Order: sequence, then structure tokens, then C-alpha cells
Amino acid sequence: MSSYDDCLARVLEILGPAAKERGPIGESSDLVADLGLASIDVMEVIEQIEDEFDISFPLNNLPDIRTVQDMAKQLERLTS
Amino acid sequence: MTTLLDKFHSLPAAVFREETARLGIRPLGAVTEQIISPTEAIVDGHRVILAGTNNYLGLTFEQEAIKAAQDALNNQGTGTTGSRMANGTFAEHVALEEEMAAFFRRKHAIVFSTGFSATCGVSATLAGPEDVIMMDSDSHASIYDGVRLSGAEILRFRHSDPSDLDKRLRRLGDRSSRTLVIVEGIYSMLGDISPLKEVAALKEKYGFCLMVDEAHSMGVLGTHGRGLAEAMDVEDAVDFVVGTFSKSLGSIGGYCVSNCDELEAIRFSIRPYIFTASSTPAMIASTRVALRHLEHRTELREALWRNAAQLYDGFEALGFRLGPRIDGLGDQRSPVVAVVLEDREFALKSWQKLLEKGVYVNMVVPPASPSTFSLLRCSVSAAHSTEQIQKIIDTFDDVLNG
Repeated sequence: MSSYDDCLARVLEILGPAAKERGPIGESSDLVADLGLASIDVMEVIEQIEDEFDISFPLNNLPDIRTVQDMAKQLERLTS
Repeated sequence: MTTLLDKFHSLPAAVFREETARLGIRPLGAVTEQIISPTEAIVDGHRVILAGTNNYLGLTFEQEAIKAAQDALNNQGTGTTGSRMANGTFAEHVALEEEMAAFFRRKHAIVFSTGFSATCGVSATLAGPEDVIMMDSDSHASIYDGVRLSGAEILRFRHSDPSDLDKRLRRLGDRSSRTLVIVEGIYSMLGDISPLKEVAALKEKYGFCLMVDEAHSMGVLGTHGRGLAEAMDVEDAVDFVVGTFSKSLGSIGGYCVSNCDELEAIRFSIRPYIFTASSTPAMIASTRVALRHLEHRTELREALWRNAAQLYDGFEALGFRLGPRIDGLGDQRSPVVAVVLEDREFALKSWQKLLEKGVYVNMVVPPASPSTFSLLRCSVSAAHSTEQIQKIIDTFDDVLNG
């Protein structure tokens, strides 16, 4: 079980390299608009998180993941 | 103020249209002005060899099929004007279903008006809100759209990766027995095949239902043309086969075949089956004839494999980056041969040059391609001559290496 803060910290670490050229990254950063990720990049990040935490993100929830915070919340829910 | 229609200006298709208009080319919706034969046409003013039409067995001009369609048109009219559930089931629809079931050696078959409605409708119906769908990440749009309608939990596994599928099924625990796994025989963009033997082997461990979309592999793979499941000898493990009449059968329509007795109950739960008019008599008539040709004329499959091997090997010798080579199926080949290009603008300009020099292929850019790369996608036909395949190879050499 991971706390929201743990999930957020890990999501920020994983997204760091992918978003490094787009300035500071924070909880409210939009994955596409602020970090410049294409949908294929978002899927790769999700696959990395899935492998690390041994979970599967349902596609049903992907439209709700727009920001770093959304991703961390999903991770918290799936690991609780 | 934002309007309802603003979003359409920034969609990938709109951006792509703008980009191609700037380059003076029209890869989306190129117009076939005259169709000369299964392998030749005049497209946007250029006489071309057709190398991107999925006309795998070249049956679109089969005289017996044309005659059957003409007779059906004369005797039964232009359309059924109704759903299969209402007035749209003619004796010929039922006969085609019986023939499809017999061809696939299955107990039951449903015929749909299009391949999209078959794949989408079956994907949307088999699993419901309490169930899980596990789909290959490179699945066709009709599967993506269908599963969204199902209400099931949708998970995707890495493309053609049985170990990733295994891992994700394990995570489901007891729910794996309420799971529908969906794969395709041949994936339409790169022409690669599913590792169906390994996928089927996981059924024993997890007890899921398996659906295979044989849209691009029916008539193409397997000694009798029943697709990848036949070619890999795992037909018993496949619970539902879906596919289309619009490729190897040269008409339009779709199907689902199965040994599950529930298919007859499922039939009247599939909304794209119920709420659309049934196929026209002419389409059903030509499809029935084409099915007989597909089944009995094994020389068409052999010609297709020879042509596909000639094109793939010819491109490989030129140093092109291609989709994966099919291994382990003897002489059998995928008819889809895709040249992968990293430079999108070069790909677009090359597509236009190919057209001008007499070769029509499909231009594929993200998100339609399964990566960030662009594709010049060829599909081979049994009707291509050796000389036509050589002309395609030489023209690609001229355009890409010249």
C-alpha cells in the first residue's frame, strides 16, 4: 500500500526524464499541454508504473488522467 | 468564445490534411477514377499498379461472383430495407451463415453488414459490466470502439507479448475466468502475426475466452484459408472468430463464428447487428461465390505467398526497414509489407512520387501507425504478376534510394 505522497513522488521521478525539456514539473502539470507528452509517451509512462507496482491501469480511467496529480491518484487507488 | 466545431480544426486528421495540402498531395481519400482490374487503376490521374487495396486473393473481378451478384440484383432487388431481426433476413443470408459455419468447421455463424460492425459489435457484447476485456495494444479501431461500449473493465497488454498478457491475467486472480482476450491474426499495419500458440496455451491456466480477428488472415493463412488459428493448429482454443468479407472475399460484410451455443442468444444482443439494415442480396450472392473460390482454389493462396515473399525479400535486399518477417509457418507469408520511415515529410513526398511513377500504396502516419514512425504500407494480391511485383520493388528503389 502506498500513500498519495509516495505515489506523487514516484510519478514525478518517472515523468522527470520524459518532461525534462519543458520546464518545471509539479502536481498540477498537464501531461500533454505542459509536459508535451504525446499519447504514446503517456502509455509508456503508464506501462513503466504498471511494471514497477505490479498493477494494470484500466483503459476506462485513462480519459480522467490529465495531470500529474490525476496519475498519482490513480496509482494510489490501484495500489490500495 | 469556443464553438462546438472548433475542436475539429486541431484533430490529427485536420492537421494532416493541412500538412498534405501544403505539400500538394492527397494521401487521404485519393480518388480511384477508373478501376481496370484487381491490380490496376487510374488514381488521381495516374495509371497505377494497386499495391494497397487488401484485395488478397484478387477476387473482385471474379466472373462467377459478378454474375451471381447481377442475378441477385435482378431477382431480389437493390436492398433488403431492413434489419436482420425484422424483414432483412433473406434465405441467402441464412445460407451464407451455414456456409461460413461449415467453412470454419464451427457450429454457429452470424453475418453482419460490415466487418467493422462485426468486430465492434461482438467486442461490445461478449463482455459486460462485471467482466474484463484484455486486448492487444495494437488492436484495430473497431475493437477499441467496441470494448468501450461493453461496460467491462478494459485492460491492454503489450503488443504480441504473451509474458505481459500472462502477468496481467495473474493480477486479475479469480476474475481471469470472466475475461475476454482479444488478438488479431495478422495486424493490419505492419503485417505481423499474433503469437497465438502462446496466447492459447494460457487458457488452461486462466480459463479466459479467446476471440481472434482474422480480418487480414482469412483466405490468407492456413492450408484451407481459415486463418492464423488454422495455420498454428490452435483452432480448438479459439472461442470466437470475427472478420470481414471486404478483403480476401472482395465484397463487404462481416462475420462471427463459434462453437459456443450461446452465439444464437448473443446474436440478438449485438446492437450493430440489430439496428442496421442487412447486406444487399448482391453482396451476399458474390460473397457466397467468393467463399467457394477461397476454399477450393488453393493455388490463389500459393500465388499470394509467392508474391508476398518476392516483395518482402526484394525490399529487404534494398535495405528497407520492414515489419517483422513471419517465421515458422513454412511457405506462408503475410500479404502486408510495410516500409517503415522515420522522416514523416520524406514519407509523404515518397508516397506522392510512387503514385506519379505508377504505384499506389497506403500512406500511414501516427496515430494510425503503431509507433511514432510513418509507413508506406503495401498489400499484395494473388492477382499480381511477377512483373508487377518487380515494378513495385524497382519503383520503391527509385523513389526511396534514388
